[in-house]
Amino acid sequence: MTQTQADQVLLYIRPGSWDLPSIDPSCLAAVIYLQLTIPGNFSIFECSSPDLSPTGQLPTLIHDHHSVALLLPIIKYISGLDKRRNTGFANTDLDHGMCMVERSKQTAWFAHAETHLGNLVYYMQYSLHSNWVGMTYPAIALMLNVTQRYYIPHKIRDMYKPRLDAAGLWSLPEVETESKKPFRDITPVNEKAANTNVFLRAFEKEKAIDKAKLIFDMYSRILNNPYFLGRDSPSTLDVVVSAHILLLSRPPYPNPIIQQLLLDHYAPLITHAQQIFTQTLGISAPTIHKVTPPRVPWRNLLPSLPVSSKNHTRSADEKRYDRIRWSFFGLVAGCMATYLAIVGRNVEIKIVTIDNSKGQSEEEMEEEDAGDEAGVRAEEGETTQ
Amino acid sequence: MLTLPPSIAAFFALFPLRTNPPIYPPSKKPITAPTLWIIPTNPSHSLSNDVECLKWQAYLALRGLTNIHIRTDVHPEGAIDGRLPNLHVPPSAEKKSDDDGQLLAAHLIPAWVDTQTTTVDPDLEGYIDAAARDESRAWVALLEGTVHAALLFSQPSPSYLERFLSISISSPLSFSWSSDAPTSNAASNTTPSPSLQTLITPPPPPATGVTSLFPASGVRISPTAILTQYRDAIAALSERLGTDQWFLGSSGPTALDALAFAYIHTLIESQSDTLRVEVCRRVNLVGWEKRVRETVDSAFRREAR
Amino acid sequence: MLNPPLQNTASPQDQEPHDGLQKLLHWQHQRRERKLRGEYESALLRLSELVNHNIDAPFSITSVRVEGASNTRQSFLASLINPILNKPATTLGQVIHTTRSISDVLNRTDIFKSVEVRLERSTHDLAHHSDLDLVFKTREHGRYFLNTSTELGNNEGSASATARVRNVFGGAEVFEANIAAGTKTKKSFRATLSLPLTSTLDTRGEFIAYGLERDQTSYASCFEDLKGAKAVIRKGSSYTGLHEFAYEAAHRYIGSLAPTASLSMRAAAGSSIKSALSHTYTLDNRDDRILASRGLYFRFFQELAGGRLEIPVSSTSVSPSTGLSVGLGGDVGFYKAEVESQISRPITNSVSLSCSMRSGILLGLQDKSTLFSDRFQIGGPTSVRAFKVFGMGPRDSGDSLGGDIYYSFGLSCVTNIPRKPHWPVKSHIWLNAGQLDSLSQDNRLRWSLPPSLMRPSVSMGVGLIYRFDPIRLEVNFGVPLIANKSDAMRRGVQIGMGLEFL
Repeated sequence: MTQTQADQVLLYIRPGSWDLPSIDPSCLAAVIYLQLTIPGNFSIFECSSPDLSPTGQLPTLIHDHHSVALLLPIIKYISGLDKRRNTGFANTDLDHGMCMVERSKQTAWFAHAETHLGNLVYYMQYSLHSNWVGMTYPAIALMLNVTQRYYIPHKIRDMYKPRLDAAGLWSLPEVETESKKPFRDITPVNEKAANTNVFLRAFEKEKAIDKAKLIFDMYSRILNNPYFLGRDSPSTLDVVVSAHILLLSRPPYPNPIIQQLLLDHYAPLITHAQQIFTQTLGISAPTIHKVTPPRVPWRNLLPSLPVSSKNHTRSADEKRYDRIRWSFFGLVAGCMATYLAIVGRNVEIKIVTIDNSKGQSEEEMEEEDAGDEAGVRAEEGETTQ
Repeated sequence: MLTLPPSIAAFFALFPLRTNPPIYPPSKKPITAPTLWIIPTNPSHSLSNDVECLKWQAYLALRGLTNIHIRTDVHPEGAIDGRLPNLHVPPSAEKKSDDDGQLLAAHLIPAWVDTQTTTVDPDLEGYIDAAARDESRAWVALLEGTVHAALLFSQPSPSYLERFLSISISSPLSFSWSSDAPTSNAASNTTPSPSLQTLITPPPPPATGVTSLFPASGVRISPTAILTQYRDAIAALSERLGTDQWFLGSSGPTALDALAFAYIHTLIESQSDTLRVEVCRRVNLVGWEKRVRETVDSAFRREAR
Repeated sequence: MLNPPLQNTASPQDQEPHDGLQKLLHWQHQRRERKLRGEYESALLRLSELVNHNIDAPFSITSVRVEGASNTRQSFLASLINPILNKPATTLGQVIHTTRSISDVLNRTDIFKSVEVRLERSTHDLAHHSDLDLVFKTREHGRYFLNTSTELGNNEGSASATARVRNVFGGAEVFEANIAAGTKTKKSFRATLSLPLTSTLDTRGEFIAYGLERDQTSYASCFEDLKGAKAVIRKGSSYTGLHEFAYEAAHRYIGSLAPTASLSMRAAAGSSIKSALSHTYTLDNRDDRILASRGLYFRFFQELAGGRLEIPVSSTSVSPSTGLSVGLGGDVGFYKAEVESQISRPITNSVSLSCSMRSGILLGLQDKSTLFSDRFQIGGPTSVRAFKVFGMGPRDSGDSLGGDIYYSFGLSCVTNIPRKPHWPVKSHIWLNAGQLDSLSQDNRLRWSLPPSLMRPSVSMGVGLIYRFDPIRLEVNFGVPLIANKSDAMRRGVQIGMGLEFL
């Protein structure tokens, strides 16, 4: 390796579990892509939470003073590396040799995979209650230190809720309904609500399976020959799809509804993903360097500011929140100052010099501030002892 | 339920002793033609500024319907589930003439269109083959995901006053000890409208950070990442259209064309230079948009009011 | 005659009881009281004689001291007292009169729990012996009041908090804030700052900020969310005539429509901003606000919102379309006037007759129709009885849209329950009539009266009134006699609760 530390490609990802380098499909896809293009020439940095990433998002790639966030921009950056001088990389574009129409098709399929396969993975990991409680929550909690363990997993889960809600895949709570309130009697209304809960849940699973079937069918159809879209070497789309399929098929889901469907009916997809896995993440594949993150538990309790604000332009939302943060600090400082000014009006700080030899000056002082008489007396007493 | 004893019911039936003619609402006009309720448009033409409304406008027009009225004075809150567009269709012929007709939410529009014109083949949906139909799904995902995210991102955020006024004090307190609360939410069949949180993969963390103890709000996103993806998407769209008449080489307009038109038109009209330039650079997209716009525009008539 | 030792030698006078200690004690107590009363009366008599004889004696006030008003601004007290002192008091009578005026104005500030007056000979070195100091010994009310309450039950919880600060800036200002929220019921807040504007204290200013939500699902399938601010100047008292001038800016939002909402309500949804000036005159000399048996109540309210006035600029160089436009701003422009009156008088000892009338008109000043939020609604137990709440006027598939012009009339004959005149329950027989319709308006702001106004809806019935202070509760049995086909009627028993009834 001829590169210096600054030239090192550093990839920030969510940490892995279940024998996979990352639990997040986008991060996993980024790792696979780098393994296919620049094996051995990059390191990964495991961020237990997105706040540790320089851009605030994961995956993020840092190379040569560039920071690139999200999967597609990372892939584009890496695939352009071989065209730049002095990088020493070759063949970093997996899609070389594709015609423009094929490339554009791939862009569309890429978006489809990220959206729909992504939804399925998130549904399995975060939405299904038993999977969350039995698998994802412990996995995330283990990545965090003791103080963060108790609240961050729920915040991470909340990030996924709007998306799954919009996709109609947010599942209802399964336990919780019972034993929370020992005094609640079973009224017909409650019973009815509980029943509809059961129905809705059953209906929901059917819905999820139907959706999954549609999506898997489609990917089975475009998976002709060894790879997607009829190519004979893995392309970007293969990377993305296999990352999702791996995360659907490999983790030990306590409630494996979609996993079971995949394993039972879509063997080609599994084989394809397995092939990519062996090639990039298996035992014979090149090892991945890891950079261990520093542990700073208490700093994180404050609202975090992204580490490097120079390298990426900041969105309006972020700017606004920065403004709110600063105005909050300003408010606190202002309040303190006002408080001290008001309270401090009645506080007089006096320096009383005590000198036995100059009794006269003491007398003068006593006359001057009758209010401080007591204090002076006390000090007098001390000095006379 | 308690029922009235027959004698009392008979007594009550005597009243009122005299009945005057009803008082009709003042500004109500009988519905004569299908009317699409959309978010206000540019006064020069009849196309909505809102992508969601424009999608359905394009859909109706490209399915060959003409002479559809549009109505722009209804606030989205007045629409079914609080989301425009809605299609207001006149009552069918056998019903009484003073009937209000029927108001359809957006997802019911295709079924109504099927009753009006020749239905498309449900298997291929107008695409040339099954592969093209599958591919159309991918393009829909690209448009509704990546392109929509860029559109949302370019929109100016509401001012503080607007946000204060839009906080509905109606929302009940967030603490909830009753386990029924989530049920009622899930039971109501409304899906939230797309936001950056639902469109970006992976879902963006809150702007306050995940590790912070402060309540989460806002989103933290990388503008460069969104724009990179957007540029890629538009390039791909232009490449895929090529010099074809319709997307994916179909012989006639499809649902994908309606969707693509809605996005391309909105992007061309967009306030954001970055977004607009990306589309305007591609001659085939601009030309195609112009051609489709004429078709869509001519299918609608502003309701005189 | 020789008496044995320890013989009772008492010779009772003045009917002194001689048996039983209790009786004796009682007798003594009464005797003492009688004596004291006598002394007090004679002292009072002597004092008033003294004062009356010296009423023209020359006295003057050198200074006024208010003690114990530690939280009250000196300048505020001076602004109250100085105008009274401006008329110089030269005799004892005038001094006493001045004293009474000052003590009265101090009491009316509502800052003090007690005000005691003392006249003292002036301690000033150069003071004449007829110079007096007025010393007001006061005790202030507590300044802070905070009340919170929570209610739990039936799968629902709610909490409310009220805070009141008296004498906020030391000038008899009152600040009150109230906030309420619940899991199912809605949140609302209201903050009021009221302050006296003149030294006579009969004009007060008030700033109000509020936010609340009205549940209108029962008659209009929607919720209305209101947020606004209001500034009010109030002069006089309602007994002699109260004038209220107000400016109000409000944001109204109609939303959360029921799935069955009518098309008219769907078109009415959305937000609007009202910016309006209003004037209210109230005169109320009834003997009882809730259940009057004699007296007159009159209220006249008018409001001007938006109201853009185009002033053409008389310059030849500018095109005619440009001109100054003067207005209050806001989305809506209307003029609204409402009159309400009630006359009650007793017929016999136990029977009284009460006649009330309400009427209102709403004129849109823009070329679009008036908004749902501004329009009038009538019907219901506190309005035209035997109709559903706001169930009259223009309606569209079950939703009352409200009207621009209305009148309603009520005649009630209230009697006591036989042999129980002291009970708070009375019975009455009533006749109600009313009509509500929309005005048709052409482009040139000309309105035409709808013919339906000549055909009122009429109802009558009997009922019981319960004076449930501070509100009135009614249970009525009534039937509509004449109704419009579109009206929502309520035949039979109807329960009403409120302050103002027709």
